[in-house]
Amino acid sequence: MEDNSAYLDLFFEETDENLAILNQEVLQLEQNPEDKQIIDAIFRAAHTLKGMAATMGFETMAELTHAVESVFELVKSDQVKVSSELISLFFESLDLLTEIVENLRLENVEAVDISDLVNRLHQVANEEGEASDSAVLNENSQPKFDFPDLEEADQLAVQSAEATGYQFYAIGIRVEEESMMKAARAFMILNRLEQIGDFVQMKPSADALEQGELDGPVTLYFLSKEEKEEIEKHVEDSSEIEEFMVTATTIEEEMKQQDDTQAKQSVPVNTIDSESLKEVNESVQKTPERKKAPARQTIRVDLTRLDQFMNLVSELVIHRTRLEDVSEKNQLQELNEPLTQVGRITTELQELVLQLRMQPFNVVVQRFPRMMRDLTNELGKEIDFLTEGEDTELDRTVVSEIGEPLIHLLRNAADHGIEMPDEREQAGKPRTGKIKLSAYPEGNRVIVTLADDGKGLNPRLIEQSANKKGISTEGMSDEQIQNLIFHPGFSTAASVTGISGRGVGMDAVKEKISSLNGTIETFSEVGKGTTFRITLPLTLSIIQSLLVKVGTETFAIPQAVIDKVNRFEEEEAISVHQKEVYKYEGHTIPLIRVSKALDIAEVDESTQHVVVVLIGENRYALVVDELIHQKEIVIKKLGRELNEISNFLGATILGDGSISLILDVTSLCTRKKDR
Amino acid sequence: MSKRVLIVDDAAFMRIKLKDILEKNGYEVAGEAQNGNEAVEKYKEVQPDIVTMDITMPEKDGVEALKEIKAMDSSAIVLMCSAMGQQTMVMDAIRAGAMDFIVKPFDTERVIKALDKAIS
Repeated sequence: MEDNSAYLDLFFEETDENLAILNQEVLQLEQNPEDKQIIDAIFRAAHTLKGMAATMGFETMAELTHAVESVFELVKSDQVKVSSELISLFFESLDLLTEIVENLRLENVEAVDISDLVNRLHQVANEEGEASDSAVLNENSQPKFDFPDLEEADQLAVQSAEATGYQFYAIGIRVEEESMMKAARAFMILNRLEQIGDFVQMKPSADALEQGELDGPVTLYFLSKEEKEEIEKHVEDSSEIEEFMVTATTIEEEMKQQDDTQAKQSVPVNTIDSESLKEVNESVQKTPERKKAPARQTIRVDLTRLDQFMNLVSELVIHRTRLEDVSEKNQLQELNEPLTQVGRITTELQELVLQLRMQPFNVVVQRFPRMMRDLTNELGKEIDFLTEGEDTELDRTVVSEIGEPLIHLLRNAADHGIEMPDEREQAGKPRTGKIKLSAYPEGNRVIVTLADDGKGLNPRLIEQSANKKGISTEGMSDEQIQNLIFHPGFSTAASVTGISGRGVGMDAVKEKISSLNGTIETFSEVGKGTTFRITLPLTLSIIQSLLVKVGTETFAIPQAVIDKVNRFEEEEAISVHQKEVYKYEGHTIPLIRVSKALDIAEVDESTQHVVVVLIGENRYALVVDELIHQKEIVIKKLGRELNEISNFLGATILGDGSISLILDVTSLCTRKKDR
Repeated sequence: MSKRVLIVDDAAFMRIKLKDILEKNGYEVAGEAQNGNEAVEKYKEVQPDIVTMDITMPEKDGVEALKEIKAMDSSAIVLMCSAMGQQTMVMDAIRAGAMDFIVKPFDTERVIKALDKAIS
């Protein structure tokens, strides 16, 4: 095999992208089987996949995509109607393609048997396509080149040239689709032609070509004293030309044709490589449009590099803080101005890198419609799946981690939430259930909600199940009971189906979300439905925090959870049932002494403060000693060895170089108070 | 008689790969050079039928070497080897008389097609 390893990453990235497009578009096609635009989009993506696979030498993948493409060609030319069997066949092909790609990614082998599927695809293509095959061929053997416009002035010039023995030619050239540096290749041919004649008009313009832009065929009008064969030879001698045509013509004829049709004309073509004539029509029509749109310049960047960049910026922030510290301690006035500048620049850098890391929620969502479709069929239910706010942006870490818990919630909603159609009808609801996934930003957080209009969480059933499992529900409100679904090892499903309840419980969902510094809440009404509300932070790495002293230790508390900070007097702690509570805005909230919770020796003389934090809907009062100040900190994860330690999110390096732990307020406040 | 090729590339790996491709497809490697200066010298020495010329090389780059070879022998057939993203340099080379170009990483079929065409 060729040494293509340098392209492998790019190949996977683009393949993933194209597979996602295909999944999405085929799904769309199911809804709108007649939509030409969708069909075109699918055809294009399949073609691109085929080209990439072939270039990389992945033959199985190329063969399968080729088969898919062939069927779609027939769909495109209206010879095959889109049916639900066809859609299923496409989905099967897509699954198999995904499998091949995964195998390639893991072991660099394709190792998937595609013969059955390819046969079935061929069958579709043969059965339905036979009748009008010849018609297609005729149509295809005359691909069109889109020629440049001729002007009055051209006519005069050409006529006088013709009078002195020049012949007027129309020439069309198409560079191979997979060829690199298409513009340079076209440029090379033009350079050669220039030695034997003169250009009258060309498209795209010579300027555009020199700029390196070419995204379609090159067409030109050409004057030469040479014979047609000689001109053909000049073109033919270049490599990587897919096809070309040279036609001896007259300017009158060409101008007449332009007037007549105002558009493209058909001219016979010398085909070098007849393999992919089919997309010719398409690309010719597309070319002018593409030219107009100003190209948005993007490059692909390896994620690890972006992470590295992020890390470096984080380090920079740390050292900036240290510099500020040194400057303050030593009263170095001179340093103030440059430090302010450095501060401004690092802040901008930080914002920039954070933006770079943002990905739209859509990256997660796009695979769900397909999953929900399969689920719906499998369960025999009728479910409408709606999404909203796909363009809401999240940190890529969140994006890559949130998929799994969402899938779990979606499966649960479809399996346990939405009732069977008949059942729904009896309950006076529409037969088709609704599941809606939405995301929207709220301050520096993003809220993701997942709502279904199914049967809701029945507290009585949960209670029964909980009691059976030995979980006490005494004195719990219905709401609290509903929240028991997040209890480790809890599953309400009477029977474990293949879809949900395969051991990964809701507690795993909750844990995952907590690990992303997020929270999940449930709102459910029996008979009406269930809504999960997930709150996620926009970013994970740099946070505003409040530095506090507890005993002799310094801790950082994430600003995002802090509701209010107050002086604390001993008499404000009220003992209730051996627990301490604190009166806050007319409510009593649990009081947690951080020194006790973390076993830190108290220092008597210090003034105490209370930090009221908000976790989900609940407030807690944390008692700390001194408040130091508010500071932007960079979260450094604790090493794997310290995974077991639950009360800390991580550590950070402070301005003076010392290390301080970041309190995981959620785990601190909600853990079992067993001491 | 098989055609004689002068391979010019600063990377030994590339020369080995090209040599292998060429020899398996009926070409004879008449010489190798690893920079533009060497290329010009070798061209004089071995008088190859065709040259494959890398664009970026130390000391003297491929386009310069091409110009010098063309100045010595205007009928010289030179095939440029370019990495992606060197379109401007490729165009310069074409203006300077390069016959054709191939883009790295090489694909045996493309290399041979380009060579066959250039010779014909």
